[in-house]
Amino acid sequence: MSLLLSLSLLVREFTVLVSYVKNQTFPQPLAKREEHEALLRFASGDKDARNTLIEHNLRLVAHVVKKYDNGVTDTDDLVSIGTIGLIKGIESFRVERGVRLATYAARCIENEILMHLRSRKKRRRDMSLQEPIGQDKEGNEVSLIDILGSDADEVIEDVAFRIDRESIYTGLKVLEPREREIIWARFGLPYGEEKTQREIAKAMGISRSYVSRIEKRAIEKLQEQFRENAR
Amino acid sequence: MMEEEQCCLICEARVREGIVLLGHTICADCEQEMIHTEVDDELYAYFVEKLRTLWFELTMRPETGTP
Repeated sequence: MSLLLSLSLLVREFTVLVSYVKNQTFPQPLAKREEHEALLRFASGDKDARNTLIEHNLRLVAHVVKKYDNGVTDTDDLVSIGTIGLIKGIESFRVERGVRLATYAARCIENEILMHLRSRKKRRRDMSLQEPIGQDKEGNEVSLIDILGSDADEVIEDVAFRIDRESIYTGLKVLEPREREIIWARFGLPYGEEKTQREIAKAMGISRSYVSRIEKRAIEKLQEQFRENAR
Repeated sequence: MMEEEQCCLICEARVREGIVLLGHTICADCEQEMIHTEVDDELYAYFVEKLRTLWFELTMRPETGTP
């Protein structure tokens, strides 16, 4: 029953996409002359012209998404990914290359989607240390870290021991300014008061969830840096 | 340049400049971060999730044509 429901949702999502392309809900493509003028204005630094070029090519995103809409990734995720590709395409387009904007932008949208699909395929092969891999005799869940050679606590203690102050300071160099600012504030570096994500978000004028994402990425970068230093 | 401050679709900061897509603004900082973030980066998934709003708006819009 749930399979049937998923299938019907998938068909509905796809139908909605086709219907919106057909019903011209997407902004119409620019006429050749309008596009040329917008490109000239964009080349001279007009941001509104850039917005126009992006918006009026959103239809391209829908067309490319249709091609890759195979039910593996949500259609709306593919539209988001295609939109990122479109923004990259408009930003990097140069008239002097002699390629039509639509051709170039469609290629960028396609590249973005393909990169996502490849990355998804690769991630499926990765396995988390905490991922359940079975059950013991008493029916308790067993994860990969439980069956590794070292005791889990020992591994964690060892890692924690390695993350000393000196390596943290060295590691901070790999972070972008905004990431560094958040890490410093979160962990009260060097000897200050630790701040909550909400306090940092307020001080920086951005959302708490965004602070959380940036913090998570910064920590991953630091972990990667520490792993490399430990080798 | 926008006349009034708008809320960035990604970071929710109040901004006057940025990409305006179907009435939503993406500030310059987030735009740069977004186009330079690798697809397997944790933050990329966040951008994709935030951009879903655009698709949602588009499908909720009455079928009257262009904006």
